[in-house]
Amino acid sequence: MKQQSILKKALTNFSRNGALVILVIAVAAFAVLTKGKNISISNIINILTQVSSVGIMAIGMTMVIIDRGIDLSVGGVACLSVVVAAVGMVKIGLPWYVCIVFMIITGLLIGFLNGILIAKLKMQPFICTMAMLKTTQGIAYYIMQGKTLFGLPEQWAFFGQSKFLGLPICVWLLIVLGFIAFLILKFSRFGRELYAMGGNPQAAWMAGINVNLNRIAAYMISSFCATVAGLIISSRIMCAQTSIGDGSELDAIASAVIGGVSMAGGEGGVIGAIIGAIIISVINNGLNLMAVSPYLQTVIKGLVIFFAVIFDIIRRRNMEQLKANQ
Amino acid sequence: MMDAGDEILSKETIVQLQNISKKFGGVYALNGVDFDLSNEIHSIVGHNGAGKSTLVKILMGALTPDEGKIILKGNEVQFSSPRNAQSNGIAMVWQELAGFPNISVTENLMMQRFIRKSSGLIDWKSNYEQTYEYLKRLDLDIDPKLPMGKLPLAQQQLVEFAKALSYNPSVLILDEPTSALSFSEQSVLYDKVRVIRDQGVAVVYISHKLEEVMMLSDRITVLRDGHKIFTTDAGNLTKADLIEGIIGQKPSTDRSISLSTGIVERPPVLEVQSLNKNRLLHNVSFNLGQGEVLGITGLSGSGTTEIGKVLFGLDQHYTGQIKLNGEFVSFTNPQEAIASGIGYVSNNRKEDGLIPNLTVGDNIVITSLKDMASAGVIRKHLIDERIHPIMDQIELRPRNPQLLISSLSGGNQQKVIIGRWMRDGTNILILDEPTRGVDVGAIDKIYDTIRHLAASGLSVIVLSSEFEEVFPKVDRMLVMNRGHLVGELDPSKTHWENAFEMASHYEN
Repeated sequence: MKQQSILKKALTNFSRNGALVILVIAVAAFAVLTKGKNISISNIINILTQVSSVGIMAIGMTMVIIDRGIDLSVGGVACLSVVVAAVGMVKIGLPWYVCIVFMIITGLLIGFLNGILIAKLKMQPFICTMAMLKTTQGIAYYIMQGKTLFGLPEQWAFFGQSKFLGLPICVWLLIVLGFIAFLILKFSRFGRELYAMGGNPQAAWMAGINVNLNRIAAYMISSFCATVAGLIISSRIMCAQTSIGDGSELDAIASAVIGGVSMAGGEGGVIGAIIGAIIISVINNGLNLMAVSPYLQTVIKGLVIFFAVIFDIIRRRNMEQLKANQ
Repeated sequence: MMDAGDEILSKETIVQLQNISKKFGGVYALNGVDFDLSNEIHSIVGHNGAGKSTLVKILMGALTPDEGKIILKGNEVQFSSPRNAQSNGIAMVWQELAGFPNISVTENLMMQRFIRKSSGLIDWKSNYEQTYEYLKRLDLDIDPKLPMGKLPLAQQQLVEFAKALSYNPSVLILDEPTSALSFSEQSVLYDKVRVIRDQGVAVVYISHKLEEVMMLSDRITVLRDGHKIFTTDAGNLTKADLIEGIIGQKPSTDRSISLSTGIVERPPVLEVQSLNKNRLLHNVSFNLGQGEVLGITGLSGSGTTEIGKVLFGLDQHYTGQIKLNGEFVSFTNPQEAIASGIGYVSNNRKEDGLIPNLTVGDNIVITSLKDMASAGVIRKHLIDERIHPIMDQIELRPRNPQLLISSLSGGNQQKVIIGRWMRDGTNILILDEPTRGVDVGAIDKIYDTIRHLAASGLSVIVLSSEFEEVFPKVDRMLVMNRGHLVGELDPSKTHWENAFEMASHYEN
């Protein structure tokens, strides 16, 4: 009896850090399978560089999901904000830093629109942000007319290609934004209120929390993160094209879910979401190193999500049982 | 008064409950109760906790008795589940409608027994006809294709009746069927209940409304504290007898004592003037004094909850005036009410109060995070300074702010939700059924806390349907009856039975 409960506790603790455990297992497994190729410094930096844009999107996504929402528009936001900046720089000849400001304003405006529609008009987050995804993507398509815009100023490469203390700037952006978001969720009034809203929106409202304002802020943060992700991607490829951000909303959601953010709201955090993004990248990278067919890689990505969520459900059940036994 | 034993049964007995006892945690919910039922309308009445719902649950198979027998048409039976009781001809229509509003009347009625074509597809035409036939048994003229939710509440209730009847039950249990209905709708429902009886069904009728019970019933059984007090023909009974049976003593016939006299005048912090709300509140006016604990009691549905909602900004569909410290206010949401110093604990802790994913400490400070943060950053020492005195005050056990609130007992959860409003800036606290779902031990503690808060200058409104429990704890008691304020009592001068009598008094 006692042994069983110790076992259960161990299992719970193990699974409480579920994402980290999966990450360690994945890294170790690929280290064996690729004969250590995947843990070379250059490969690790490569993985982190790949992770940075999706990881940053996952930060914003986490905030929205904690509030029981979802943001499907992040890919469109990333794309449109890049297009706006590129047109500014290449066609109009504005300085790059002015265009970054435009980019961010574009992102914040879209986030604000999402927030207003969802908080005030009570649109379903799924529907609202899906429509926003189509709208923003469509505008970007229309502006680009199927072409790719080259000729970005060389300073633009700074975000995706320069390094500081051996790490690319984009990785630093992920680290800094992740840390700030962690602090916000853990130690700010906004963060604490967001968890309360996710746990019981009605009770949070009746306790006097400004639910609408917080919700709008969450969607603006998500759009802001998407804009930064767009900046990083365009900086790496040094052009603007409509494929930027395409499909990235699902990667961001998958990262959050693998990282233990509950779609039911009120649970999880940004560190988990970033680890979730790293897990996806480690697996992709490992399979690449092993020259596994990219088609099969997609299957494996799907299976990882299944695995992570089933893990999460088992964890919850154990927690409930522990609670019931108390 | 007739005794239980010497009734003359004019009709064949359908169900007999013999010497039924049921204990919960050592306390008798029912103690040696006999109950029999023939083709009649038989009402069960009693105060909250008298044993009505336990008796009904036993009859419908949701509970098994500790002692006693159930005899159905001459054979002893044991119902293992409500489903089992159903297949033995016992049907029930719940107080809260169990229908599905988004699908048609037909689908509601025919669910799980659709008439199908030989191909296996649903034969809609036959289903509509069958439904129409079922509705006709109650003389209901309702389009079977309409979504249930499009019907007025009263009609939905009648569809539920028709559905129950369609299974050809021998016993139909109706739980407070008129609680949500207007007066004219009620009389339609009474007619239908009689129709059901005349079709040979034994009807068990549960209601708080004494006049309704006396007018509709063939026989009445009164329960009090788990005992059967009597069963008698409704025609032999006066209302005074009935009330005496329910509360155990004669109601006071002297109306004058119900008018308050010796209540201390306090400076009013809240003045409510002719509050009206369609069908729910009629011209309600009262004052709340500084440091006063004001009880507003009434049977469920009497409008007490609505008063709380209006005062906290949860409901804007009202007319009338609210003055707070001499100034007119009207709140459009809780935030505004809170900013004006009002705190509110709803009667639905799970939906409106608990934030289950947060700890006890977080659940307490949730109302005052603004004061806990500078420049948006939470200061941990401020939180500790806030929650520790509150946990002492409410005597939280275990006294651990790190526990998830969902792991606490109902009583402790409620204490935390009340503690949430112990903050600078709360001047008026409104508590709707503060002891609902709370373990007995915690009830007194909750009232102690309320008294303590009042002593420190807070003004408190307790909205409740627990007359006996609230009465000794408040400075002044207002009584609501179907949306009207019908009395004001001084608890030091009168008995709670007077409040109950005023609350259940019914005239057309």
